[in-house]
Amino acid sequence: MAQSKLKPTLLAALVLMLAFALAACSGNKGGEASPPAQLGGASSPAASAGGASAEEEVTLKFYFGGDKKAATDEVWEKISEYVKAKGLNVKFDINFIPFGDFKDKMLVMAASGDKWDLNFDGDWLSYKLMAAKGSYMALNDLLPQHAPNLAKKYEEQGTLEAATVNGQIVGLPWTMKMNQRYYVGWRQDLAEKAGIIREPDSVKTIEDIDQFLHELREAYPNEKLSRTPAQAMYMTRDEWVDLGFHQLGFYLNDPEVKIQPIEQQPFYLEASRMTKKWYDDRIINRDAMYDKEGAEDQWRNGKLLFTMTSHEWAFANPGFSDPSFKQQMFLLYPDKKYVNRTALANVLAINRNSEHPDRVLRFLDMVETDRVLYDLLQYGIEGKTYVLNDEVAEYPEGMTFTTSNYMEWGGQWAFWKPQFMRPNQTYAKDFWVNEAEFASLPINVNSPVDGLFIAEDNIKNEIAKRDQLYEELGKPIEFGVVKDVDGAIADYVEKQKNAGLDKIIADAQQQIDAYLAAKK
Amino acid sequence: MPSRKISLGQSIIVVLVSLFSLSCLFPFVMVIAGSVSSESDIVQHGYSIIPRSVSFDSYRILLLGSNRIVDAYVVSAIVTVVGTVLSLLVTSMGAYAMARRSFRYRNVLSIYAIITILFSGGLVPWYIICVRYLELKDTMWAMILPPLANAFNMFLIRNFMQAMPDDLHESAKIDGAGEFRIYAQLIVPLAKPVLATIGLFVSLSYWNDWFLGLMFIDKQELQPLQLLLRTLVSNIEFLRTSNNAMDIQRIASQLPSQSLKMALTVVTIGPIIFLYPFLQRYFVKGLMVGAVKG
Repeated sequence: MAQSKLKPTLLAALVLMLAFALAACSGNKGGEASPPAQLGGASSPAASAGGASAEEEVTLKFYFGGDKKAATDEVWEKISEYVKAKGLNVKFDINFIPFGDFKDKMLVMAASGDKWDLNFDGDWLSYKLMAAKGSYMALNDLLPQHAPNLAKKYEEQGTLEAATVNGQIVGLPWTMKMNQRYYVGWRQDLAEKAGIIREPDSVKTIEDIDQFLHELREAYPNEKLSRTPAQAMYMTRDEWVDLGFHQLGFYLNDPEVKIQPIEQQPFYLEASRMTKKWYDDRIINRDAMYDKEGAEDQWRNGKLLFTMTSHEWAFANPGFSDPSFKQQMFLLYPDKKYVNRTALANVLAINRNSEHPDRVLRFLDMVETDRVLYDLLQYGIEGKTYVLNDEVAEYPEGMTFTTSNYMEWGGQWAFWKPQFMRPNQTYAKDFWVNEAEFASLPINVNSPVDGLFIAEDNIKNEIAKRDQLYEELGKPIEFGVVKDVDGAIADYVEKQKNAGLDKIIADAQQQIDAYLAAKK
Repeated sequence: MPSRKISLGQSIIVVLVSLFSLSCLFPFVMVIAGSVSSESDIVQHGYSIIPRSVSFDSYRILLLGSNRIVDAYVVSAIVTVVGTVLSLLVTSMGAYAMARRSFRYRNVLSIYAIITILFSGGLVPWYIICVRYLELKDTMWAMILPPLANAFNMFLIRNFMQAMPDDLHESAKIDGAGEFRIYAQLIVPLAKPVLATIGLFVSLSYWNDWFLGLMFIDKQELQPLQLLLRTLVSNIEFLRTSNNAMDIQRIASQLPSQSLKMALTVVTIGPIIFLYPFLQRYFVKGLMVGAVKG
C-alpha cells in the first residue's frame, strides 16, 4: 500500500532532479554564448599608451602549467610595475595547473564558463580540443589592433594559419620556428678509433647507414649499438607525413592530402625488412621495443653508439657525461621535403570570456619588442631568481632546476623569443635564430594540415581496435621481432582492414577535406 | 600447568604468523629504503632493502619551499578533521532518519540517496554548482563540502541502526526523550563500531583527496598535501616524458622520479597511519557485537 503511494512522489522527485540538471546545463550554455566581441573596441587601443592615467587598473588572470615556483608572485609584481610605467595599467593573478591534469581542468573550466584572461596551451595539451569547442576568443580584429608588432611577426612566419579554426584566429603560437627532420649520428671518437671514417655530409641514405652500422658492429661486437628502427628513415625518403593519428598519414607531394594507413605503404614493407635485418644482425638492441629508459640519457651517458635526432640536437651541446665523447651528425635525405615542427607546440590563448583581451594583447606585444620585459618574464629578478654570468642566465647559488624559485617555470616556452633568448650551457648564442633559419630553408615546409584536429567521437571503437592491433602486431613488425616479415605484414594489414579501417579513414578524410576547404 | 606448555603445532603456527607479520613490514621497509636511494641505483638495480648509496635528494626536492609543505599539511589536517566530523554527523543523522520505522517517507529518502549512487550529474554541472552557486572556489569548504554526504556510507550506518530493536526508541520516548536526544545519546553511542569504521573510510578519503583541490583551489597556500605532492610528481614525470619540454628534458632526466615517489609515500602515510591503532578496538568490538547477535 505504502509503495503505491510512493510512486508519484518518486516520479515528481525524478522530474525535479532532471529539470535541475538540465537547467544547470542550459544556463551554462547561455552564459558561454554571450559574445565578448564588443569588449575589445570599448577599451583604449594600444596606440594611446600615453594616456595611462585615464586607464583604470585591471587584474589579468593567467593560467600556466606545472608547479608554481616560490618567487612567482614577486616576479609578476615586478612585471606589473614595469608595464605600468610603460602605460599598461595591469596587475597579474598567476595560477598553475599540474601538467598531468592540465587538459581535464581546462576543459571543465571552459565548459562551465569560468572567466580568465590568458592561458598556456599546446597541441600536446588541450589546445586542439579547446579550439574546436570554441573556448578561445577569436582575435582576427583584436590582434593587429592591439599587438601590431606581434601580428607582423606572425605574418613573416606564416604560423597563424595553423592557429586558425573556421577562419578565426584562436591561438597565439610561439614565435620559435624549427624543423625536427632527422639527423643520424654516431660516436665519432669510437668510430674513428675503429678506423671507420666518414667525411661530413657523406652519409645521406639508408644504404649508407646500413653499411656504416654493419662496419660498426664488426668493430664493436659486444656494445649496444642502436635502438632506432628503420621506419622513420624510410618515411623521410618517401616524404611521408605522419599525422600523429593512429598510424595514419599522407604523402607530402599529394595535393589532395589523401589519408592512408602506414602499414599498407610500400615503404612499410621495405622498412620492416631492413629493421628485421638489423635485428638479426644484432644492430638493434634486443630490448629496443621494451626499453623505457630515455634514449637521450643513454646517448649522453655513452650507452648508445648510434642515434637519430634533429637539427637542434645535432648542433646543441649534447652534454656528454664524459668530455672525451664526440658525436658526428649527418642530415638524412637533404633533398627531400619535410614538415616543420608545428607552431602549436606551445601556444598562448585568450579565453572567450576574458574581459580584457586588449590589455593581454598589449602585454604580449610588449614582450615581443622589449628585452628588459622579456628578461623579467623569463628569468625573473636579477640577483634573486637568476644571476648573469656574461650573457648567460644562471641559477643563483644553491639552486638547481628542481629547487629554483622562478627560472624554468612551466609554460615559459610559449613566451620564447628567438631574438631575445639568452645563451645557456646547451644552446650557444643565436642558436635559435639559426634554428629558425634552418626551418626556413625551401626543403622545410609547413604542413598543409597543421592545426587540424581530428575528432574521434564517431570512430571510437574502431580506433580502439586499431590501437590494440598495433600494440599486438604492428609494434613487433616495426622493431623487427617477428620471424616472417612479409607474412606478418600481410596478416596485420588484413586484420586492420577487418577491424574497421575503412570507417576510420572515411571519417578522418571527411574532416581533413572540411578543414582544407575552410582554409581556402 | 600443562596449559603453559606450547605444543609443536602451536609453535609452528606462532612462527608462521610471525613470519607473515614480518613480511607485511617488507613493503614499508622497501619504500623507506627506496626513498633514500639514489636514482641511478634504482634505475640500474631496481629497489632493494638496503640502499646501495644513500641520497636524500628526493626529500630535499619535496621539502624545497619548506613552508609550502607545512602549509599543505595544515590544510590537509584541517580538512580531514573537520570533514570527518561533519561527514559523520550528516551521514549518521541521515541514516538515523532512514532507519526509523516511524518515519513515513524513509523509503523516499532512501531512493533519493540511491539515485546519487547510480547517477551523477557529470563533472561540468557539478563544477558549476560548486563554483557559481555555492561559490566554493578558493575556499577550504571546497574540499570539505562536496564529499560530505555519501549515500553508500549512509546505507551502511542505516543497516546497522535498523538492527537495533525498536523498543529502545519506545522506552526512550516514554522517558520523555525527543528525537534528537534519542539520536545523540542513545543511538550514536550504540553505533560506535560502525561510526568508527565509516569514520576511518571518510578520513582516509579526505586525507587522500587531491581532485577537489585540483578543481577548486588555485591559491597555493590553500592546496592540500596530496595535491602538492601529486603536482610535484606529475610535473617531473611530465618533463621526463614530454618532448615538448625540450630544453628542460636534459635536466629533467637527472630528476629522481622513482625515489621521489617513495619519499612522497613516506611523507603522506605518516600521520594517517596512526589512525589505525586508535580505531582498531572498535573494529574488534564491531565483530563481537555482530557475533553475539548472531
